Amino acid sequence: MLSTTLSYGLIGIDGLQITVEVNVSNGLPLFEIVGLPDAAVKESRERIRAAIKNCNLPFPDDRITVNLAPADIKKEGPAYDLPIAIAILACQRRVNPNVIRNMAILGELALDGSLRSVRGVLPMAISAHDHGVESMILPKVNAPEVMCVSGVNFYPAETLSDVVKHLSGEKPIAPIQTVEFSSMIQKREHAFDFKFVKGQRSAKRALEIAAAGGHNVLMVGPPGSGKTLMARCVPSILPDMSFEEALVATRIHSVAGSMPESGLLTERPFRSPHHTASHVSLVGGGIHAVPGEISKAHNGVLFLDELPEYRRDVLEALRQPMEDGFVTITRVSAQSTYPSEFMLICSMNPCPCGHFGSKTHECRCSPNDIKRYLSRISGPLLDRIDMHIEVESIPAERLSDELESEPSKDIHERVENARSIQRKRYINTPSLACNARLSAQTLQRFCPMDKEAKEMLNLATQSMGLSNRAYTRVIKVARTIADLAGENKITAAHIAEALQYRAIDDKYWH
Amino acid sequence: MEYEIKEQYRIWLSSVKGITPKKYKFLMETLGDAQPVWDDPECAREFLDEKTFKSLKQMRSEEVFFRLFYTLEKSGITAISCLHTDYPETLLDLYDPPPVLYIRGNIELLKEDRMLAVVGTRTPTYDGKKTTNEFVKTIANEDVVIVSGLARGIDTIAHESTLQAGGRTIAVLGSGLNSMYPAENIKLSETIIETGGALVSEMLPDEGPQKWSFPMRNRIIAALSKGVLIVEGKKTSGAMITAANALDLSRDIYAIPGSIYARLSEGPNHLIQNGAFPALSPWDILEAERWGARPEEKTKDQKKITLNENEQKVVHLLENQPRTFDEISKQTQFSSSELNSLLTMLVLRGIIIKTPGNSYRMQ
Repeated sequence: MLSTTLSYGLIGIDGLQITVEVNVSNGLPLFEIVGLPDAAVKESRERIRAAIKNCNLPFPDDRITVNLAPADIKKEGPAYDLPIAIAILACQRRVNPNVIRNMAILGELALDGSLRSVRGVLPMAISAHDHGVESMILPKVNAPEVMCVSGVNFYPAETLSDVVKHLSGEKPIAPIQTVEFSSMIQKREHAFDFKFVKGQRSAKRALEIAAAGGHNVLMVGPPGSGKTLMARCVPSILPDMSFEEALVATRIHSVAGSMPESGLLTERPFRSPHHTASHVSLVGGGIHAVPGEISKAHNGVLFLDELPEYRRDVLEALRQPMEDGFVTITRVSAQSTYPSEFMLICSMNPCPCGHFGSKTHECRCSPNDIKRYLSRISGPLLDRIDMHIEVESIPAERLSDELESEPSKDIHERVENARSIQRKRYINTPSLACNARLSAQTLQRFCPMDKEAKEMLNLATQSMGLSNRAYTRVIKVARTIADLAGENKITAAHIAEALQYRAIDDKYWH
Repeated sequence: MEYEIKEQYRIWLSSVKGITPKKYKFLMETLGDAQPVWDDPECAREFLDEKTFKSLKQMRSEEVFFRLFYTLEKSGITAISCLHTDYPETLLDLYDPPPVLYIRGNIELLKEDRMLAVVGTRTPTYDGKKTTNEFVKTIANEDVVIVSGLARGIDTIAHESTLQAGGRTIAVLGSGLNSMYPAENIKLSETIIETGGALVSEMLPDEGPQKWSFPMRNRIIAALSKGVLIVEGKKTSGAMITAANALDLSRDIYAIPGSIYARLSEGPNHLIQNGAFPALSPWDILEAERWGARPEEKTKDQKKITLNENEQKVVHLLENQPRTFDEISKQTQFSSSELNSLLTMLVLRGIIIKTPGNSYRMQ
């Protein structure tokens, strides 16, 4: 007896349709799986046998051959447990083979027949939708992930018996109700809000500009000055994610197996890998070429605290993905391309002891120590960071007399406005998502300056010793400042403010 | 350089381990010269302790002797014993003058009459740096040789400012001339020699810096100069040792007064309290030493700086003390974006400057 059903695997962040074929024929009892299964797939034989028997369902004492097509792509993971089990039952007519032929089934079986969660359900569901699959059975635990996908009937099941009862019509499962994306966005709440950050007016303003233009930021300041707290507040002022952005971000997290409970990522991701992070964990890789932190931070924030403490080769590996917006990972057994458009926020101390320039503490570092510390960050990496902010330490007694600060909600509104201006301006140049992505060529076109602004920039180039690269970065940041002010032309005041964010270039540092 | 044979024995004797300046002086006074010690070390036995005598016996070999002079020649170092005519007389004021001076660069400079020592802390404040720079530049312009110790901080700035003013400077090292300390000043030391200055040390060329060698060299700095200017330093700093040495040698002591709350002005203020000359301008020193006369006070025809109302508010705040961005923002109630552009404009016009820690001060 032959029966077939559909299931899904993963290639990068895309789903791959797999046809599960099961043939039960006379002969010595045997259970064989072919079609390049990996160890987890091969082991599913034991789980399937136990689960079927424990659900008081018949398991054939015949020759069972399972084929996973296409046969030349390696199959991984335990997601095929459920489709194989159902197909075996279909061969024995416990389930109608015609019902399952065009149905997608996903799920890992426990020995008692209950279903466990599967990695990467969202990309699989999206592919199923694209392939015109009408219904899909999946573990109930994974149900939240697919709540936003419409056009496919998703049936969340808890056990193998539930699935069998559903398919035989004995006790049908209700399909998942789709949820509107906009209603999910409204419900979100941020744990970190700028209203809890006392003082730090200049740093907050700088982060507002950075969020509005998508600029990468380096914060320099003594320990305990609130760099980490402010970085954590940044997602709360970033522009809302569009549905497409949210889908891509969620797909990556779904593949990486780090899904949020709510199912869809509605808040821009904030990733803060520890400074002992390896090259692979940051960029992605491993045997299965899984996404790394930079891809998990796609459309969100990658926060590197204590930047000079990261291994140099790890930091250098960030350069290419930062430039391209995607990263391609090649391994012997797999090759995957993951998007990696993130806003980089990093922080560091101004010197090894951390108190250079502090009013309250004495710095104990020699000029050479400071030079060596700063040189741990390479020039090319610094070149990709538009804004350098100095964060000042706040004496404890001043913390109490500061008034409540502006809440993130208000800042978020201004950022959102500035972004919509940018979206309108770059509507015909899809490669430009925000001001940070402006190149030397497009700079001329999109950044008109008035005469005074040009004069001021020239004056600054001479007296502050700005390099060519710094020059373009100042213009980019000035563009964002002008957008925040709702002005089309860049004026001298905008340039003047942008010049404030060049701390590392300042002479006193060297 | 060619050495007289007697001179060579003196240099050799001073290089023996354990022979301190005091012991050397004593030996020379009792035995007349260094040659008797070379001819028959036994004659020194009764004046030396056992350990020193043992090392003297060990060092009394042709090989040691020639290697010493070979090293000197190879590294371009001149040695002058205290009996030599080129030896700076001012050093003989010390009760333990260095038996031998090792010099690299312009030897003639040591005989110069107009010399001022400028010393201070290794971690100067912004004001300390600025004062040192301004004072030294003016003083060096009057053809005064600036003497300092090539240490980090004030010393380095003193040397550098002299070079900027086109003057000549002497660096007295606390280590041998072949083992420069601190290493970051190697380049500076080369420039000093190229511009007609000199590096001086009483230690053997290859000797490294020792904890005791820095206070020791301070007495040379003090002795060489007519006066000593102490810019900044805590009460216990090396600069205060130099000042104490200068007092013993009855050199003039100048100190730059500072706030009574500034820790780094503790030293100079204390000196002033005890009778040191408070130097409010470089001309105070130049006039006291009769090295130059104060130029006629120029009528201030400086370009009048015009500030608008907002700029005035900011400048007014910064007049008395440096302040951080947050403080200025809080006091003036300007928005961050307004203040950012105001500050940049003022910086570009050279009215205020930015300092580490996101703070600002008057130029």
